[in-house]
Amino acid sequence: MFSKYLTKIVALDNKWVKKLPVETLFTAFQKVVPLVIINVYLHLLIKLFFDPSAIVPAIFHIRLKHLFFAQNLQFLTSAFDYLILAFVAALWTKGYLEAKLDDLGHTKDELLPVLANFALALSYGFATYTYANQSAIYLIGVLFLTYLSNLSYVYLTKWTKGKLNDFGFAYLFWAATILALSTFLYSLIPSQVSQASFNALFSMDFFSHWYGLVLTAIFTPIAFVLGFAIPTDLTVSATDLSQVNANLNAVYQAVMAQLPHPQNPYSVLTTSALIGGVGSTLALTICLLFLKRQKLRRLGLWSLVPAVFDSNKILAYGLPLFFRPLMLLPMVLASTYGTVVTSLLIKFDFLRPTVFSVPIGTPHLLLAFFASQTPLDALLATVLILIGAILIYWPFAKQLEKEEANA
Amino acid sequence: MLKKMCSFPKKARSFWQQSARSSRIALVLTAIAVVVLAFLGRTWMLTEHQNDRAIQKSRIEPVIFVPGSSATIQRFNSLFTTLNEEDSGSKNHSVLKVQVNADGSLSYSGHLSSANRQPFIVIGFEKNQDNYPTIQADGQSMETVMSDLQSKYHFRSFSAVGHSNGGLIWTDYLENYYSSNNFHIRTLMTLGTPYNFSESSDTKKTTMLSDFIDGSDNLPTDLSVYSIAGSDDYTDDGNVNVQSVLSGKYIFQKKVAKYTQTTVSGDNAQHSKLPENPEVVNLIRELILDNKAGRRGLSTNQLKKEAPATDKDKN
Repeated sequence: MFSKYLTKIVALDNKWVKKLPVETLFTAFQKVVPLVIINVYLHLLIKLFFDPSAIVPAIFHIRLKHLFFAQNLQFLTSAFDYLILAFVAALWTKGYLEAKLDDLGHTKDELLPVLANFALALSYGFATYTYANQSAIYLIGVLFLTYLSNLSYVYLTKWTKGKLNDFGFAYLFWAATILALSTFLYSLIPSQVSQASFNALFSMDFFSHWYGLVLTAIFTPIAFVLGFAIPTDLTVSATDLSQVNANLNAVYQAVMAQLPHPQNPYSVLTTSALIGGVGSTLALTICLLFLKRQKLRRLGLWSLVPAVFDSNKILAYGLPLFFRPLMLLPMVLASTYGTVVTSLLIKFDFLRPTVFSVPIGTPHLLLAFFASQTPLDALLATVLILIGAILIYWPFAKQLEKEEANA
Repeated sequence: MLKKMCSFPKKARSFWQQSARSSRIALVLTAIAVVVLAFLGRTWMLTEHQNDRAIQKSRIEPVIFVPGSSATIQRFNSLFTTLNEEDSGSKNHSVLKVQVNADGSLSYSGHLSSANRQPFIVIGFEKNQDNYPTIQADGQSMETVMSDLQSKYHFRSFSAVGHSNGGLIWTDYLENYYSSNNFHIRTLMTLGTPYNFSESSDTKKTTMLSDFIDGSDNLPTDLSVYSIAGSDDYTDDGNVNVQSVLSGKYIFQKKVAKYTQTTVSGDNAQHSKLPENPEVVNLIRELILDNKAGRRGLSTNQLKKEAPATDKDKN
């Protein structure tokens, strides 16, 4: 039964991956992996050491003064995020246009569209960058505009039968139009969306029930795979949701008080559905370590430490996780599984939910152990969730290995 | 079934042995690091939350005094003597003094007793020159002192009194470093605080006043502010111009819950004597201290009747 569904998904994945825009996009993703690795480790350094409420200075009682270079490092690392996106746009444009124009029998120099799309992606950074939204990058928006830009370039070339000069007025006008339009569209993005902070939404009562949480657990990996930024209200451990504050107040009044919102995004989703990042991808990283293909194992090794600290960016670009049907299913399953297990355990009083705030950078793997009032039960639940997630990912990881061997 | 279950550990061991050496090393090292982090983190969390809980449940609400430029932590001694003369026994306010040394270290003297709900704390600065950069530096140091005091004495709510530039240090702290997640300030009383330094004209705003106005959105919205000006000769208190004190309205008005401006006059209304002025003493008693019942001094209203030169402007 399961293998039948798996075969169907693999067939769909194969078909999808072989489409020219997807194939060239995945190649672009994989080309930027070394850059992504540097970027992820820089983020990790800041998150663990240089943030004012980072976990390492907190635990070791180190009072780091506001270091000038730390601020600069933070600024540069955030700018680096956008640069990676710009490289993806440029590499994708080059790969896609080369192949597409070849098919159409036109020989063109792709430098202008490559530069235009590089600028298109970079201007997204200029339009939305603030210190607060480092992780809130909507890949989907930039890649969609890049794709439209590529299509329009192909149509223009087809329409003019490839007779126009590569840097002639017509192509320059095309590039200017693309850049002006994209800049205009970026200016329409509301600041709340660009910061991916939806405190009022997730503070709603709907998200204090299992059904709201399960729905979120299903949609979060889908949104991630489609390239949407994940709301920081779910990913950050120092959350300010009203349910969390109400629980905290209750606990401060009486230690083992009845909590007003035992199930909430923090106690269920952040704690159990995001171990290693969206889709509980720490489990996937562990699976990769046990594969025979060296390329996949190396990816697992590079992403192991970041995955412990909930960053799955290396896998997202390296496998990739983005726009990949084969990876979407286990991500949804692992995320939902963690949510359902934790919801049930809290509902039937097997464990006290995560209530306390923890320092920035605390791994979600240890969140329940740190911040629940029944730490050992919580740790046991986390181990149970992690093992379950590994079992969910294992057949899909083996499938990845097969595809890698066939490639 | 049983046979299958029995063979599982064997299979798992052989699976582990067949895996790549690099993977095994990486997994083991990561697991060790996670265990160490878990142990240290959990220990830290326990201490931290006992502390948070103590803060949350704390009953003490100290009144924290900051003296002005060139004044030491002894600045409020006679004020405390006056207040404690009237509040004997359990109503007696213990006094703790903290000196912020030039190198940033803190020196404590006196003690803080929780017998009275409102003990007094004085925070003085060794670097206390009369200029804006020093006020900014002292405002920043306040963050360190306040968190040190909180970790030692577990309070959350407090009231603040600032004499002269002490009021400016409080304003700088509240706008730039105060966090309502950690503290709750009920009342700020400033005594002869020159919000526009020595400028007597409203139209000429100093950089400091402009900065304070720009940062006023960061002030706690539930705060009550009382700005007391001294009037020695209708224009100033012998040191600070009344107009400069009145400029506080540009910072606080419509930004905090309540902003009240009061001018006191008479023999003890000179700048340096403001903390000992009987009317100021009664304002502190009436507006900041809770122990209104049983006090022997005259009420502020009674005092006002005896001092007709007082002007009160309330928004």
